[in-house]
Amino acid sequence: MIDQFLIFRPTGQVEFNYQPGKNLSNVVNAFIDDILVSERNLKTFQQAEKDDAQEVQDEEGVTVGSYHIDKYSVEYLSVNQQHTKLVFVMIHVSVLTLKSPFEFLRKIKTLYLNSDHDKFEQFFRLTLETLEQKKEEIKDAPQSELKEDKKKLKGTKKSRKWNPDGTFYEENDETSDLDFSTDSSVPNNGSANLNQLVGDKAHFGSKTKTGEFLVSDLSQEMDKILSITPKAKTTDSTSQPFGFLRNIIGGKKITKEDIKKVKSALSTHLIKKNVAPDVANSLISEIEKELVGSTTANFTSVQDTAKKSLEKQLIKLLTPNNSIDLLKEIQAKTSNNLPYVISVVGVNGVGKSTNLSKLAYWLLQNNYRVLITACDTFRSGAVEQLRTHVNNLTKLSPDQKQIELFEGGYGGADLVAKIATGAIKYAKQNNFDIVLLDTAGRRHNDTQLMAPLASFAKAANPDKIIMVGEALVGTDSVLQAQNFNKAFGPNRHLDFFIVSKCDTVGDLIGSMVNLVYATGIPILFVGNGQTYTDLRTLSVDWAVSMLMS
Amino acid sequence: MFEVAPPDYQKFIVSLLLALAVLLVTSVLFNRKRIFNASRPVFVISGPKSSGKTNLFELLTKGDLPVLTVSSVEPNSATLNLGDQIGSYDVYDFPGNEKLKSLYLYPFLKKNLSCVKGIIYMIDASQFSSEYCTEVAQDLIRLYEITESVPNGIDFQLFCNKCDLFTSKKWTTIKSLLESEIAQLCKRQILNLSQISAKDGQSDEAIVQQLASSFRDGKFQFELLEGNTEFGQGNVHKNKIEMVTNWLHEKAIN
Repeated sequence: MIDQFLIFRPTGQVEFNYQPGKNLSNVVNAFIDDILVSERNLKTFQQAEKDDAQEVQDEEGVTVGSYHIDKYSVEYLSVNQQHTKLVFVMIHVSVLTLKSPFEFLRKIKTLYLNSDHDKFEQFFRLTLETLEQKKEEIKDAPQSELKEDKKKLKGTKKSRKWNPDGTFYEENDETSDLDFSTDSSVPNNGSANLNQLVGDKAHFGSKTKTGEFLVSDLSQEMDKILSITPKAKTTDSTSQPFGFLRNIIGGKKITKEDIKKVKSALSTHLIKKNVAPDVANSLISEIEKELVGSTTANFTSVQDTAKKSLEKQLIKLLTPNNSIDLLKEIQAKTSNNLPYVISVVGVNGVGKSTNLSKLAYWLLQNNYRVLITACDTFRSGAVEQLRTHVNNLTKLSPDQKQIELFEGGYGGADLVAKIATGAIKYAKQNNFDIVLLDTAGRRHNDTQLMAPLASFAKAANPDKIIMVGEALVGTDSVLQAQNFNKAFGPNRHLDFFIVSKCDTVGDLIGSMVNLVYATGIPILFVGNGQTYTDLRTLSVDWAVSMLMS
Repeated sequence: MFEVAPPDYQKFIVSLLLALAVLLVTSVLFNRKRIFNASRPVFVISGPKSSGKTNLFELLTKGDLPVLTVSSVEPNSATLNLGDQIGSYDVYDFPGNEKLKSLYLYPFLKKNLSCVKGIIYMIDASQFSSEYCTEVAQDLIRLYEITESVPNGIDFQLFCNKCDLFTSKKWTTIKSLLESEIAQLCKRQILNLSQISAKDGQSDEAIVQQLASSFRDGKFQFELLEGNTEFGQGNVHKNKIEMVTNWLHEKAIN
């Protein structure tokens, strides 16, 4: 059945906890991290429109959804209204499919908001019973048939009973004493047949008449609460005295209509900053979810509030979940005498080799020995280009023997993996700290070119796979990021992005938002110039202020 | 025939004033709470995920523990009454998620630094592994960046929660581990690439300089920081938080 049911506030306090088994706090917390904090659902325009049409029936400020982690499924309903901010969460194993879980959640929500705590607990048990009963009725028919089938099958067999001396005799009657399936399944699974259930109820009724009475009383009361449709409070700004002033001095309750007005302005602002339209709309629908039902702050209009909320969304989006400390990881790996392998991937001409050399320059300055590997075996001149970089870097590095080029010439796709493994082996033998693998640029929607990436990732098993994305590209960056993220097989994904050519776009750095929104993978470095020193770490404050300007 | 009445300036001014008065009164009426909410001294609770921040917050402000807590998504705030003589303070409990910290905690600290009386930093002593240590050290550096920018800094209490469990580390061990980790982190930060900013050249080296005064013989020491950093231990779940309350009283009086 349900493994846990929680009602909690966004501030972290649990208001109600139903927990027949153990506390699944890690499931809840994973749900909170992934859904409540960093939910990104990228919708195409058509999808968004469809959803809009469907969502009309729901109350304002109520969102429902489901989430899966490990073997658990989570169904949730979050209420985000002016005075009540609550999240209703139901956890059960994924194998179990509940009938209309959202209806159940909505029911519980109305019950919770309209009754006191003790009453609610009784209500909850009752509603839960009905949910479980409903399921039983559905499951009942096919299961009993199945059982009968099984019995028939078993019936043809004869049961053997063994004597102490080793001989046995066969019994021809029903194998009832061995077939425990019906009896044992009743209390455990709750998949009892209907007769049994009714019998149970009668027993319950006859034994404690007062108890029965209590239950029916409760259910009546519950129905009463449920039948009261929420009053359509039209607290429009104009219905209050001086309500029109709220628009100027703040404290205005934001409705869906208000948001609609500012929606287009915000999305054009974002699209002008080079954010893909789908991403912009998805971001704004998040804002809508957050704002509808809340009130504006002092002396701020709806538009300013929405703008502030967008800023918040961007900060939340661009801040990485855990900070990556590359130098620490390199230190840890090299202390075991193993080279740290970094691989760079990306579309043609985004600056993979250039950014690789920038990285190499930074690592050389930190006194690491770097082996640059030319895994681009397709494009003529790719190896020569890297050699030029290595020659330059050799002259610039404090010690002449700090950097080398590992090359294997030009050839087919199978050569790439061979060169990569060869380079790592060479690095181990010659005490290199870091191996930088430069790969060939490839179009993200060409499956033939993308396929070798999986085998390459498997063979080289890089510690970090970096995708270089350019700030110049617009809408396409969404697909680029998604396809490259998928290219390495199910167990491997990109580790972070380098966004190149940031100096060429001014404040139109929307492709950063696209990249992160499409994949949830953070941006670590930003290329902002032509020289080896023009590599920076991303500052979220900087990016957000650029995007909002 | 075209006799124009002399403009009645007095009437005009009176009506104008009346209009302004109405505007003022209504705005005050609507936003009473928000306008007169003067900035009171504030205590902040921060720390990594699931270290017991919300539990401590509830215990301090309400006197008992909630049924259960889950990861917070929004900050908590309430008034904490420390007795008649000392007065009441605001307590804020910020979520530990990295994204939410940059959304709520850092902007809050930057904005209200002058009224922050102290920061209680919760550490789960029962799961103080080396990764946890790095996380805490990184987080502390991030906080010190902000708090050490004012003269005398801001006082910290690093509260080691669940200290009585079998697997827990002692606060003295935690302290020395943190000191060495912070030192290493600072060294690495110098080697790292600088952050991108609008005016290139001005970078985050200032932070390292700020913390540089806290180094003696290449070792970082909490005692050398501008603000006082004290360690405390207890168990929020077992209501053992005397060290926090004592510290709060002490900071409130000073």
